[in-house]
Amino acid sequence: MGKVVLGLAAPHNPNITSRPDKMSADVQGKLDVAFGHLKKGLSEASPDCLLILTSDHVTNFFYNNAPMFCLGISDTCTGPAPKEMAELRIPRATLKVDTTMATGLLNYGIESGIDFSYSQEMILDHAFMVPLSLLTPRMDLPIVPLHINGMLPPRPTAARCFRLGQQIGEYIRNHYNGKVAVLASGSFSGDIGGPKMGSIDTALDLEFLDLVKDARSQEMVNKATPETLERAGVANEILIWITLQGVLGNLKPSFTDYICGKDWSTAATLATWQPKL
Amino acid sequence: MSLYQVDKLLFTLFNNLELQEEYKQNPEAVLKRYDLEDFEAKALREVNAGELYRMGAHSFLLWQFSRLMDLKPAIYFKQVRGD
Repeated sequence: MGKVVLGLAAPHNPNITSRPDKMSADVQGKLDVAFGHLKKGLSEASPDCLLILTSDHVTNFFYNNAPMFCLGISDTCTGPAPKEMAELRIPRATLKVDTTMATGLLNYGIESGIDFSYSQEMILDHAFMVPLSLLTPRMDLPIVPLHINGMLPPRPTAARCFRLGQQIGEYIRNHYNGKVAVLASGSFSGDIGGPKMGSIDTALDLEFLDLVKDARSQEMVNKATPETLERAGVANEILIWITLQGVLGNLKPSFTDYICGKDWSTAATLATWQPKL
Repeated sequence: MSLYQVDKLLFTLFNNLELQEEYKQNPEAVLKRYDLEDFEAKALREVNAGELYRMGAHSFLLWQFSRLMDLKPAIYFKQVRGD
């Protein structure tokens, strides 16, 4: 039966790849060390598949059709989107999708109460490509992309996301044959384009990070009310972390880091979880 | 109110490089393809981020629009915050 061999959380702030020349040596150094730590963990875990949890940034989905949870199930997925190629400085790449897992998870979810949406044309925007470019730059690890709605409210509830994570874990352990790493792509607060843009809600970020460090999942769920998510801003990614915690159960991270760059509107929060195998 | 049409234009501009070029060359030709109220078209034409934000345009898309139209970030923040 399958195993979750690694949990990872990493930011996808486009500033990380797009403007490294404007980044201070101190911040660049901290990011290099932290991403290096995650990359090494991923290499050592040697998974068969990387399940990526993140929120589409109004690339695939809009108010005309806004799913809560959407799996990419095509044979391959390509990114970044043409609109962000020049800025991101990430070469366009086509990644293999682990369709056994993608379709297996889709069917398992529907049978057990998560009515996933699915797409044969999911574009991998920067939310996928920024961490991928740093964690698996050869882009040769099969992925399963899973969109969790964060930018087109109403969002799914935190309890629903936690349950989704639990069901992903159940699927992997009971129905998948292989080793899976799960990446949560996103940081906590971020009000990109909103009135709070330009400042980082460090207090809120660190409160969440403390809960993450102790794997206090019920408190994470309780805290992530619609009001908290509103405070955290239009591009907050708290639900993504809660979904990952659902996959990992009560496992505490073995590594965390929190890095703020000058003029950023969202901090870089990174973490690694190493399940006992 | 046709806020959806405002957001739809912002979304389509954000994702379509050809439309971005066309909009920069001839915004009126693009604006008239959307079912906009006069005050919405005016706010878009003037890149009035404050007005668009207060009518409820999606803030992430609005930020991308402001970048496309070369609105200075300091002016964008001032407008959106209503300073």
